[in-house]
Amino acid sequence: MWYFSSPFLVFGEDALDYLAQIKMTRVFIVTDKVIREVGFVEKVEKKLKDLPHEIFDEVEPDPSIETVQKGAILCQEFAPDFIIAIGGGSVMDTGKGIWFLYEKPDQPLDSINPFTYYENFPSKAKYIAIPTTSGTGADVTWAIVLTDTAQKRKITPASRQIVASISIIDPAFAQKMPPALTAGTGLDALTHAIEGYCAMWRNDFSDAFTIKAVELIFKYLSRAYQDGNDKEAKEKMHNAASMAGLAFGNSQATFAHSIGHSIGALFHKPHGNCVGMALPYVMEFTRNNGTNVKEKLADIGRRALLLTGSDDEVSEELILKVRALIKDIEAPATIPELGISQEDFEAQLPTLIKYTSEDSCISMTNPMPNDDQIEKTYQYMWEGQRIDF
Amino acid sequence: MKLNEDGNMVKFMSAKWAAQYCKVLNASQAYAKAGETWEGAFIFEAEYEDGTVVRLYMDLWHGKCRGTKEVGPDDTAPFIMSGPYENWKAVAEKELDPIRGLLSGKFKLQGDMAVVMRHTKAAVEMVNCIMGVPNTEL
Repeated sequence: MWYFSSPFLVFGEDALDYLAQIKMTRVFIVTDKVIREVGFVEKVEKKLKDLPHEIFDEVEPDPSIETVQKGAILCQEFAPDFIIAIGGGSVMDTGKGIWFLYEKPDQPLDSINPFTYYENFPSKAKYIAIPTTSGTGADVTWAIVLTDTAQKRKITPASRQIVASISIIDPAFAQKMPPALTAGTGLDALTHAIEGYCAMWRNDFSDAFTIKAVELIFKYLSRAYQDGNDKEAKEKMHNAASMAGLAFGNSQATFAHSIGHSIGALFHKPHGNCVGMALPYVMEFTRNNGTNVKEKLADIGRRALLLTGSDDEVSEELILKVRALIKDIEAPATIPELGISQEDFEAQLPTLIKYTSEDSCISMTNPMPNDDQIEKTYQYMWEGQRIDF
Repeated sequence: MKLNEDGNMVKFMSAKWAAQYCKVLNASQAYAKAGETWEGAFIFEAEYEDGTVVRLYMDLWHGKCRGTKEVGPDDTAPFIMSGPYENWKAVAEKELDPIRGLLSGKFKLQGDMAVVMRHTKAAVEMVNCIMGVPNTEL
C-alpha cells in the first residue's frame, strides 16, 4: 500500500479567475516584497474584490522558522478562512507553515512529521498555493523547507496533511521571470523529476509525472530561457514544474537535494542552481553504484526523450543531455560557478559533508553514499570532473 | 537468506539473535556515524500468527548498542516499534523499508516521531546490520 497526494489543480490561461468561484470570507495572503512590487498580489486582490484580506509580505529567500512564526501570529489575529500564498518556493513553504501553525498553534514546527495524524486538520482554513516560478513544485508537495538560523541548517518538516487544498498554476505569473530565474527554477524541476524516478519510494504514479515533466522540460526550458515572451514555453514549464513536484513529492528527492540543501544553508545560493549543478554528478554516481539506476535513467531517456540504444548508451546520453542543457541555459555547472571561492569551499567542506550526510534526502538515494563518497563528489563538483567512481 | 550448513541457527527476533545483533551494530562504523546523535532505547515488538508476542529491548545510545534483553508486556521504552513478524522478516530481507513500513501502517511506532524522521540514515544502517548477524533463521 502506498499513497499519492495532490492538491486540486487549476491550470492554464486565466487559471487565477478560479479564485472568483470560491466562496471565501476572510483571506490571509502570504508573499514577499518582490512579488508585491511586480503587481502579482494586486492581481489576486482584484479577484477577491471587497473581501476582507490581510497581506504578509515578509517572506525572505530560504525562509526561517521565525518568519513562519511571525506570519502565523498575524494570521491567528486575522482569523481567515482562506490562506493564499503567492510567490516562489520560499513563499509556498512559508504559507504551508503558517497554515499549520494557524490550525495547530501548540505544535512546534519542527515536530511536523508524516507518522502523526493531526486531528481536525484543517478546521479553520483552506490553503491555496499560487506559484510564480517554474519551479520548486512547493505548491503540490507535503514538505516544508525552512532554515534554522541558529544552527544554520535546513529542516524539512513534512506531513501529507499539509498538501495545499488548491494549487493555481497560472502561466501569467511565469511570464515575468528573468532568464536566470527561469534557468534555476527550471533545473530545480528537472532535478525533482529525475531524482523522483530513482528514489527508493518511486511508484507508478510518481513515475508517470516524471516522464511527462522531463519531456516538457527538455522541450521548453531552453526556449523559455532564450525568450521570456515565448508564452507557450513559459506555460509548459509552469505545468512541468508542478508535475515534477508531484513526482518527487510522492516519491522522494535524493543526493542532489542533500547537496543543494547543504550548499544553500551555508552559502545562500539559489536552490535551483545548487541542485541543478549537482544533478549530473549525482546521476553519474548513482548510475555507477546503484542497483538498477542505469536502467531507470535509460527508461527516462527512452520514454521522455525517445532515445534509443542500450541501457549504457541511453543513460549516458541522458546525462550528457542534462549537462548540455545546463550549459545552454548558462546555469552553474561547477561549485566555483555558483560563486563560491576556493577558500570558503575548503573551509566549509567538512560541514558540507556533515550536513549532506545528515540530510533526510540522503537515505532515499540508491545507493546511499558514505562520507568518503560525499566528499569525493564535492571535490569532483569543484573540479567539474565527471564522476568516475 | 541462506541456511547455515552446520545447523547452528539463531532465530530471528529472539533474545539470542538480539544479543548478536547488538554486537554487529557495535562493530559497524556506518551505524556508529549515522546513529551518533541518537538517544533512546527501542523495544522491537513482533507479533506472531499464533498470538505470541516477542518484545526485544535494545539500549541504543549515540551510535552504540549498550545491551539487549527480552522484556514483558508491561515494560516500556522511549520508542516502541511493533508489527507482525512477517513484516519484520520483510525488513530483514530488504523487501520492506522500515520507514515506509511505518508510513503505510505495517508497523506502529510509539515515541517522538519527529526524532525518528531525523534519523532515517541510522534506520538504514540498522537494517544493513541485520544481514550481518551470522546464521540467522528467518
